[in-house]
Formats: sequence, C-alpha cells, structure tokens
Amino acid sequence: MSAIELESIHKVYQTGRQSVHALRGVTLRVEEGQVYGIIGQSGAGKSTLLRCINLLERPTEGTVTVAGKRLTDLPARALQRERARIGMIFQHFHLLQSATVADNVAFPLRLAGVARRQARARVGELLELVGLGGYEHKYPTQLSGGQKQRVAIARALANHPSVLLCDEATSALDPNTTRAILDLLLDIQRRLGLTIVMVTHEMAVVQRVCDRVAVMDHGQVVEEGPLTEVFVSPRHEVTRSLLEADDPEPDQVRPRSGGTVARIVCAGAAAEGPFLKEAAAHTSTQFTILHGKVDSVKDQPYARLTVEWLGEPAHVQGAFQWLRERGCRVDVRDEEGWRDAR
Amino acid sequence: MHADIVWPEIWQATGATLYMVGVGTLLSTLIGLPIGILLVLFSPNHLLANRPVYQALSLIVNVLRSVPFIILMIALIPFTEWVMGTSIGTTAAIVPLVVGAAPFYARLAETALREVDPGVIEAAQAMGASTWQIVWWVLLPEARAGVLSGIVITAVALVSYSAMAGVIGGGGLGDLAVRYGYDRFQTDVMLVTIVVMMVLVQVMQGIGDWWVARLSRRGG
Ligand SMILES: Nc1ncnc2c1ncn2[C@@H]1O[C@H](COP(=O)(O)OP(=O)(O)O)[C@@H](O)[C@H]1O
Ligand SMILES: [Mg+2]
Repeated sequence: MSAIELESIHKVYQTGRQSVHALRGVTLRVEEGQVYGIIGQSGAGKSTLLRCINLLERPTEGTVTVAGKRLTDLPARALQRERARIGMIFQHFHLLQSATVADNVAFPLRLAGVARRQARARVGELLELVGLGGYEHKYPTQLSGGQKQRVAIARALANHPSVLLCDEATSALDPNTTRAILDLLLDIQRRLGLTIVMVTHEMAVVQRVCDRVAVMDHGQVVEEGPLTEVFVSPRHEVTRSLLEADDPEPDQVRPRSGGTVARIVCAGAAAEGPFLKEAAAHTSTQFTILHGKVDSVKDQPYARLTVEWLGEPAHVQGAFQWLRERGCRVDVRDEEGWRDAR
Repeated sequence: MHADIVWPEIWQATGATLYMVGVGTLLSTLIGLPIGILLVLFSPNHLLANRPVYQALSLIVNVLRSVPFIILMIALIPFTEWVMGTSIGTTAAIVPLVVGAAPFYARLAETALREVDPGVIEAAQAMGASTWQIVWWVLLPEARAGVLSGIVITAVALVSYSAMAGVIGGGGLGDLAVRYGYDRFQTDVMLVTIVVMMVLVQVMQGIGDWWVARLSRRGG
C-alpha cells in the first residue's frame, strides 16, 4: 500500500468569468517512508497539488487516497479526523500570534480532545524533539524564523501523523537555517518513519533530502523518478533548466587553452574517487576544472563539473568514452550549446 | 445663574447613564459579536462563503445603522413595549440602545476578525479543525485586541446614544443636561453633567487602551 495515491487530479479555479486550469491530470504515488520532492517553477501548480493531498483544495476531478483511505469520498467530519493524521508546515509558519509556543504546539491536541495534563507532557516531548526545550512560554513574535518553523514542525507532529506535507518550508529562511531545518526534518523522518512530501522551487532542497522527485510544469508532472536518475539524466527541458540554475554562463566556459569544454555529471559509485584523473591517465590527456562541485544527492556522492579537456582530439573523445562507460553523462559545448556528443 | 447645583440628582443621573451604557454594551456585544462572526464567515472566500446570506445579513446591519438613533428610539416604541412590557423608563431605553449599537459593534467585530491571517486559519483546517473550533480557538483569540477595542468604541458611542434616552423617560446625564440647561437655563448643572460624561469617556477609553496594549504586547 502506498502512503499517498493521487489519481488523475484536475483542478480548475473559477475566478469570475476566467478559469485557471491549475492541475491537468496529475497521477502520483508516494511510498511509505519516502521523502518525496515536488519541484517546479513558480505557478507550476505545486502548492495546489500539495493542498489536494489533505483536501484543503478539493480536486475538480480525480481521487486522493492517503494511508489506504479514499479521502475524496469522505464526508466533512470524517475528513477532519483524517486531516489530524496528516501534518502540514508552510513557508510562513502560520503560528497563532496570540498563543505561546506551548499553546501553539498543544493546539492540535486540544482539537483532538486530549486531556490537559497529557497534552502538556506531549508538548514538552515535542519541543525537546525540535530542539526548543524551555521555549514553552515564549510568543511567536519573540522567535527567529528558524525557531518559528521548529514550533510549526512540533505542532504538525503532535497527533502522530504518518504523513508530513511541506509547502516551501525553508523558502523564507537563510541558507544556514535552511540546512538546519532540512536536517531536522530528515532526522525526524528517519526516527519516526514518516512519509514526507516536500514542495519547493529550489533544487538544492530536493538534492539534500529527497529520495524521489516529481518535476511539475503548467499543472502537469513532466518528469518523475529516483533522485540520482533525474539529476544525472534529466529528460525534460524544465528539469534541465532547474538543474542548470547554478551552472556558469556560456561566456564563462569558453576554452582557455584551446581544448574541448564538457560538462560531466554523475552520481553514486560513478562519482567516487579521482575519476577525472583516471580518465586523463588512461588516455594520455589533461584537464582543468572550469566550474562545478562534488557533493551529494541525499546520501550518494554527486558531481556536476564543467571542464576543459586537452589533448589529441581522438584521445579526448576516448576520455569522454571512458567516463561514459563509468556511468557519467558527458555533454560537449559547441556554438549551439550543450550537446551529447556521442 | 442659580447657585445651588442639584448634586443628588446628578449622581442619580450618572447611575442611570452607567446602567444604560453598561447593560447596553454587554448586550450589544453579546448580539453584535455573533453577527460580526457570521458576516466574516459568510463573506466571499471565507469558511462558509455564501454570497446571498452575506448580502442579506449585511443589508440588515446597514439598514439599522443608517437610521439616526433618535428616530430609531421612537420607531421602536411598539417593539420595546412588546419586549419589556413598557416603553418608558431607564430599563426600557436599553432596547433601542442595543438595537442601535449591536449592528455598530457587529461591523467593528467583523473588521477585526477579517484581519486574522488566512494562513493561520488554513493551518487550523489542515489540523482537522471544524468551522466552530476555528471561530472559537483561532478567530476570536487572534482578533482579541480588535474585538476588545471595538467594545470600548461601542461603550463610548453608547454614552452619547444614552444622552437621548430622556425622550422616552430613560433619564441619565443627557436628560439632566437638557432639563436644567435648556428648559431652566441652569447652565452650571449642564456644565457639570458634561464634565461627568467627559470623565466617564476618558476612564473607559483609558482602561480600554491599557487592556488592548497589554494584549497586543503579547502579539495578539
Ligand atoms: N485560489 C486560487 N484561485 C485562482 N487561481 C489560483 C488559486 N490558487 C492558485 N491559483 C493558480 O493556479 C496556478 C498554480 O498555483 P500554485 O499551485 O500556487 O503554484 P506554485 O505553488 O507551483 O507556485 C497559478 O496559475 C495560480 O495563479
Ligand atoms: Mg507555491
């Protein structure tokens, strides 16, 4: 059983005489215990799709199933009960300004009719979990953005949800805080066996925490797959442009010493060790790195490098071939742009 | 000018005014707040969005608010008699006061409640809150500073409404000022009643401001 199943979801917004077709037949399946990313440019329909999962937005067409329950068939009262088991956090936190940190976290417990004493114990536990022990009596206005998101996470986890929905949860935070919040989410996800769906417009967020990713464009999922696959061999234009966001400008990658400029992307075992050096040694060629980095996607090594390769043209081709055989993607730069020069 | 100011009568009138303003504010709040809540809930894009119901409710509130209080008081005499058994006296005057002030307060409450961040309401919905849980545990606490300052504004307005209650034998400071200041040319009595009313308004506003500031400091 999948944790979340979305079946042919359509959403049409009617605003006056105009209608916006925000989702055009989205079918998705999120497995239990996965961190699932939904990425796309602004206006692609990511938030609308996420809000369809707990029916904050009712799809015009299609069915939503969470933890085996067909939510689209439930009457209002039953739906409210199911929602309590689906946590949600937002870009702007959405905490009660008039309530203390403790009361904010206790809010879903109060809705569920949990006794006061039990609620207090649970709130203490949750605040410890998110690293805010001792903040019980503070008010949201006294907290930083990262601390507010921690409170929101504690609140979302109060009723032991099996699914956590995150809508741009780190987009209002600085890079360091973003990293801390993502690590916290990942840590909690592993400890509690949560399923997380994470909507974002930043590849870096997906790269850090997701197991699988769906790329959205104009209300449709245009690409979907395991993270390393999508990162190494993107098939859709939108995916490529999202991945290229941090690549250098074309005029920054002109050959400096008359060599061939290439972009080399690989992940997993292929990205381990001094593989560029080996490729050069095997083919009696040389290279310089123009731009790029070796880091990781989720827990796998991942390299995305722009290099200038120097040597006999046939030998350079040999080096590229060697890299391809290892599992790297190699695109060569010419006047028209990047080209898979096989 | 007459030298003797009729202090016992002034204190008695002050009591009547306080009674009308106090009970009037209480009842106006109890009736106006639910109306304000319904106005917000039924308004477009809100939890119970329903255009016809919203427009009907809004029309009733507007009609009541557009009738000048002095006319409302006279027009309501049959209704007051039906509710209270009499249309004369301080207690009877509370009926038109409430009918006049409750819609006024409903609008103030509506404005305050509309200010509540839609995101917070959405978060509560995502947690499985019902509409009434959202009203009780989100809208009212989040808007409490505005809801309270609306009560103060209504109380102050009632001081001036209640000054007209003399027309139906309601007594109070306004009535006293008219009887002595206008009918008998006893300007000193009129001045004293004006001062008492000013003090009354100042005290109410002062307490209200202090309380609102206290709530706002905590982020409400
Ligand atoms: N409540 C709404 N009413 C009308 N149009 C909406 C509404 N919410 C979203 N849209 C439209 O639906 C499309 C997708 O929006 P959204 O899901 O917020 O995109 P994203 O989260 O990917 O930026 C956009 O064109 C947006 O203008
Ligand atoms: Mg969005």
